[in-house]
Amino acid sequence: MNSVALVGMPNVGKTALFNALTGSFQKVANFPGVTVEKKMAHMSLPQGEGCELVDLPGLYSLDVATLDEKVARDWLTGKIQNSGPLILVLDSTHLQKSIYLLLQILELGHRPVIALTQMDQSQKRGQILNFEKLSQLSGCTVIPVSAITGEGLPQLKEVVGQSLHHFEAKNIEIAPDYQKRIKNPLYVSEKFKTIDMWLKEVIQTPLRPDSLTARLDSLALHPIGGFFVLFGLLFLMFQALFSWAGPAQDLIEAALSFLGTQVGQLITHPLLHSLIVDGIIGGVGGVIVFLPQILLLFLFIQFLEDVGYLGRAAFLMDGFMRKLGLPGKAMIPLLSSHACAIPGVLATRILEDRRERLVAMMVIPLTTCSARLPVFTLLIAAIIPSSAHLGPFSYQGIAMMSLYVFPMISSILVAAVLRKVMPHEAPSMLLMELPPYRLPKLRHLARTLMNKAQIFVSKAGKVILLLSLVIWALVSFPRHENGSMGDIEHSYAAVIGKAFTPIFAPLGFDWKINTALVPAMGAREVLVAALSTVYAVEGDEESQASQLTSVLGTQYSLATLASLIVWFVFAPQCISTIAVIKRESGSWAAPLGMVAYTLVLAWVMAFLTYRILL
Amino acid sequence: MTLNEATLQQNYRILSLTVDEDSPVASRFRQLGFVPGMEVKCEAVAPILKNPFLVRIRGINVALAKSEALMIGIEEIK
Repeated sequence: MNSVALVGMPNVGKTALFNALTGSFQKVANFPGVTVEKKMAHMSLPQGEGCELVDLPGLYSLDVATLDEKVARDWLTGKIQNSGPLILVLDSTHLQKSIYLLLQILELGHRPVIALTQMDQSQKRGQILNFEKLSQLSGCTVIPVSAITGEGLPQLKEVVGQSLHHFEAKNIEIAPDYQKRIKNPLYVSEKFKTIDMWLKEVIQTPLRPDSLTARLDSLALHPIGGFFVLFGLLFLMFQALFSWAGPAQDLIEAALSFLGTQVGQLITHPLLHSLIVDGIIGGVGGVIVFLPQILLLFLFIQFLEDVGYLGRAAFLMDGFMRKLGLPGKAMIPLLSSHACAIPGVLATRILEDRRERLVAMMVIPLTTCSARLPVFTLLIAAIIPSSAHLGPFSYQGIAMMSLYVFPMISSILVAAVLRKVMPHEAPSMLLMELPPYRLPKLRHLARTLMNKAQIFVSKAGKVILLLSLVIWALVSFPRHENGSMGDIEHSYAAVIGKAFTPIFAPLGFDWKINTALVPAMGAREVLVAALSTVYAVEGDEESQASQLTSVLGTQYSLATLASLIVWFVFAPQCISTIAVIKRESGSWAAPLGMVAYTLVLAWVMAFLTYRILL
Repeated sequence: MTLNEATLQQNYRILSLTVDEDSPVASRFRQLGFVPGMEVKCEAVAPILKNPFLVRIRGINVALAKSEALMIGIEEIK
């Protein structure tokens, strides 16, 4: 099929136009040889069969600064597949900026179809443009469009259809010194002069200034008010991840357990029953239970990005975050991983620099995610009586709070160390454009969310499911001689638990704790259920927990339980996190490195805790 | 003087850039219009640490870290 590429500068409304031009289904792959996302979707055309529309990464000029921009440049210079016409997106409200790329594309010999976007804004702010003049000067067809109102989209498709029909691939020849020439400041100034000359002819009535952006920025970037807005929004995000995702997750869990019981009744064979109910339904549940949090977080991030606020947040936090070796935007993945590391790791996509993204991914598993709460609650209750108070504060509350603060400090320290240790690429820059504020389009938001959910389920989901099945097998086998399913204390998990006794004995763990740690790799909160099984505690969840608290209190010393808490603070869990880091970093090096350093850290810290308290 | 010393809302002209011409930062500078002769205006400075800076150049708003502002030599437009 023929492909048409959409090219344009960042923040000109390219992705919004892509969404408006194509149907709801989009494919995401990588460009050959690089981990740069290539988004493609089918675009129907009035001339029949339609074509594939490729959304090239945004680039300011052929003088590129990042890998993403390089991919777009290589496409334009014909280094990678270049088999069809181009649509160049120019922002009608920022012509001074966006014509630069047009001039360079013309220099290469392309004749793109020009989509002049944001026409709704342009008209609202009283701008009058001479489209024919622009068409004359550039030698290209100019179509004024708006992705918001849909204006001009049919005409754009019509013209693209025609140019597909007449398109002849030609060799793009670049003078050997071209790359050097465009880096010359004189070349840049000369292009700016051309732009100003063109604009004199094209703009008949100029835009009224963007008073909305100026007014919003006077609040969003205000020395005091700005932080109120930022922390207010972050608090809202945090609240959403903790409280609002909960009911949806409970619903998913209830639905799956209902499904499990229903399906379970139909299967009498004990092995098949356990495989399907505990292994497969449980494993699939382990994947989709993350969706409410992932969707909420991405709704939030995408909304802030579409509105234009994300850059402002980065601006406010950059000075502080850079002292930790991370850019300002890293706030968002780090904070959201307190709810769950999975959406946190996915959110590191907002960091463009690969090294910083890796550092963020490596420290995210240290933050106290919500799955650790049941474990901490149980263990704290077993160590500290609920009646103990320090003034108005209960010691239990203080302990819980320190389990948030302590990991935060450790992640800062680890980030500082990693920054020193990791191979140094180019120093990361802040240098970025703060786009004008814009009203987000719901369809665009919804589509991005669907896309993220789809990627998570299809890519990370496979690994999570596979690893869940491995853990299911470890806990369920070998079976009893009579054919019924085995118990955890006679399972391979227990064999592993016993085998690891020499390694974990210095931390005060016995084989029962070690065994319960095996399924806890699937999800931390399972530790509570696993310990209940090992100690044969029965009853519903609540009575189980309170019985277990007293059992643990009598079975283990304070030193052992404290060391177990410390282990849970640092140890690499859960497998879903490992799977997602593998998927997002594109190799096993990052997840294995993370597992290795957290294991060592967990062992050393738990050992110290145990020794000091013994 | 360099861009980090600029007074808010005052117009300046860029005189020089002290940066390795082949580095990504240099490319980004050129992309956003930071070349000698261009006019810039500092619009805001992030509170407390006085880093980063928000400047206006060729009709767009650009955020830049203090380390980046230090690379840009400017003179006041009288």
